[in-house]
Amino acid sequence: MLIQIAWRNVWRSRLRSGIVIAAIAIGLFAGLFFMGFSWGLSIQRVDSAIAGEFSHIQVHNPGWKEDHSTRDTVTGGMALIREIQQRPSVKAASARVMNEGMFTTARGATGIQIHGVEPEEEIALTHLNETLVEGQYLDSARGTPILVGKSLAEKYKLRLRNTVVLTFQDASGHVTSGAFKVSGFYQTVNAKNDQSKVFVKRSDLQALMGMDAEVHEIAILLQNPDSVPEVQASLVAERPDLKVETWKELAPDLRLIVDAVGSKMMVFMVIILLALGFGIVNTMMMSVLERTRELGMLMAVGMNKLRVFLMIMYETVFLTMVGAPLGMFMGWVAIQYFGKKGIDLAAFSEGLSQYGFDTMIYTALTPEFYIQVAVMVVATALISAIFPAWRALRLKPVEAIHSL
Amino acid sequence: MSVVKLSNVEKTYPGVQPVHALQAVSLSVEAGEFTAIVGPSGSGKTTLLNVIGGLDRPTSGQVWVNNTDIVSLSDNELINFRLLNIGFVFQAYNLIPVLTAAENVEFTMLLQGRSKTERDSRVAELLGEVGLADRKNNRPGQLSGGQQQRVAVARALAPKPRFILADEPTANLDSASATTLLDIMAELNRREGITFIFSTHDNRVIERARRVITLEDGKVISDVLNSQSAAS
Repeated sequence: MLIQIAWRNVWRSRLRSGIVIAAIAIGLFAGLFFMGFSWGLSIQRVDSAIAGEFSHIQVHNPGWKEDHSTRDTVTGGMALIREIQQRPSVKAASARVMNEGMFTTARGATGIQIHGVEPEEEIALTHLNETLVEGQYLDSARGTPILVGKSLAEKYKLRLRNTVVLTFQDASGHVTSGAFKVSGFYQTVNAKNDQSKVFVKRSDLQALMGMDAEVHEIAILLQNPDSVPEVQASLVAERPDLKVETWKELAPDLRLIVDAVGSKMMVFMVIILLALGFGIVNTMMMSVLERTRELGMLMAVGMNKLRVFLMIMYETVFLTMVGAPLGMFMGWVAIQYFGKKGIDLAAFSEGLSQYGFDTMIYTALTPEFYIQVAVMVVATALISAIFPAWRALRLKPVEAIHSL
Repeated sequence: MSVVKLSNVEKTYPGVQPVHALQAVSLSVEAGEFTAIVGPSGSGKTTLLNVIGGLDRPTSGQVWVNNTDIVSLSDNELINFRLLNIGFVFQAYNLIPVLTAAENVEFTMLLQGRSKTERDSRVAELLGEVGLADRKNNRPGQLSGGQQQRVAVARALAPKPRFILADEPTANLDSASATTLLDIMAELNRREGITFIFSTHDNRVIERARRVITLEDGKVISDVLNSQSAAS
């Protein structure tokens, strides 16, 4: 009956309870939706960086990290990539020749990163072909094709089939140049990268640099992202002479995004729950104070302090637990809906793409976050219940009965 | 056999000018009595009832209820003692507004841990006794003042207490409701020997009481048997 009384007491002041329940529901909905938005945004950033830039694992000559010297190649790189591609845990892998140099057009020049890639490998690994917004991909173009970022092309007013000259050091340290025909323009979510990176065929770059079948980088995408440490360990064991790094080691800023967003979301939710907690305490205090005489009567007729304490605890928990599932359900529905439909932030596209974020954000939240929020809500309900229940305990029956 | 015995009970409320609500009160109430405590406002009637009911503690003196020295009991022991031994009827009805009449009557038996069968039959019996069997599913807000007070009497009787303390039970009732209520209580006293102790200003109660204890300034100034009482 204690539970029955507590439940009915919640509904004695329907308006007041309704307002608190609505506040809890809306607060949790807003909190969860914000979490879903933030998590979706950061996961998309990480996913697009893994898919388009870092892959899950990269293998380099240990010297490459120091000064990106063209001499620091992956020894036996071509044999190694064939072996890697055979592994069942590997989805795709690409061996790249890398260089830095000068990108010269009729309208000016700029520093550039040159990626010499095998077109087929890159299709499987980064879907580079799908980023083309104009022109042809490397494999179908004749001559010495080059893919240029759309933003870089606009800057130098480049058109398809224009010639650009790349100047760089060859494998022996001599400066050399090569003319390339613009076969296509690509565009990714990361405008900054698009301005600083061009793609040419690996064989063309190897020939110009005077390299045989050597490569500077092997990028690997795994079937299951969770197997990254395992594959890294096996590669390290197999080739201790090489540096094998995961995306988290290659891009600590991305790792920071994931970790920071997780913590930021929880801090945000704690703030919401703290505010809601005060609202709940206030409502329950009002409820206890206006029922002083009734509580005194209950103690007078034989309801002991533990039962009075529990009754107020139940009331507070019920008040919270009606609003919380409602808010969490609304949050889940909104996250599912916008996870499929996406939220179009095209109005902020310039700012977002500068930081590598897509303009279409798909909300997402893992079950672990829902569980954490649920636990936090229960904790808030219990903590909020303690003070009103304690106040009720302090009532003296004789004073409470004769109070107004 | 005494159900209540007070020996030299004093109750002083401290303050700049301490209030001596009870002064050297000694009395005993025997089983089956129908007793009214009367006196002007501020004479200490309610304080005396609170002390007898274990709702308030005396500043000095001793209070035995059913041969238990209730002054020595802790707060929680007192709550449990009240639950098992004393029924209360308050001036302002004080029912639980979210429970129906039947649930209000059942409430104290639930606290005592009585079985469902026992509770159901006692609720039916008591609501029949106070003439509210047909209103058992009504909440207090749907009952008149007199009906609420009858439910309060049924609730007080439900745990089979040794006696009922009623603090101005007719104060908020119209004449007809007060008469009905008093008839019910007098009948229960006569038929089942339930002890009633009232504090009251109401002449209708005083007329029916078999014993009238008069207080003034916290002192018992008279304690007489009322041979003219209707209850006699």
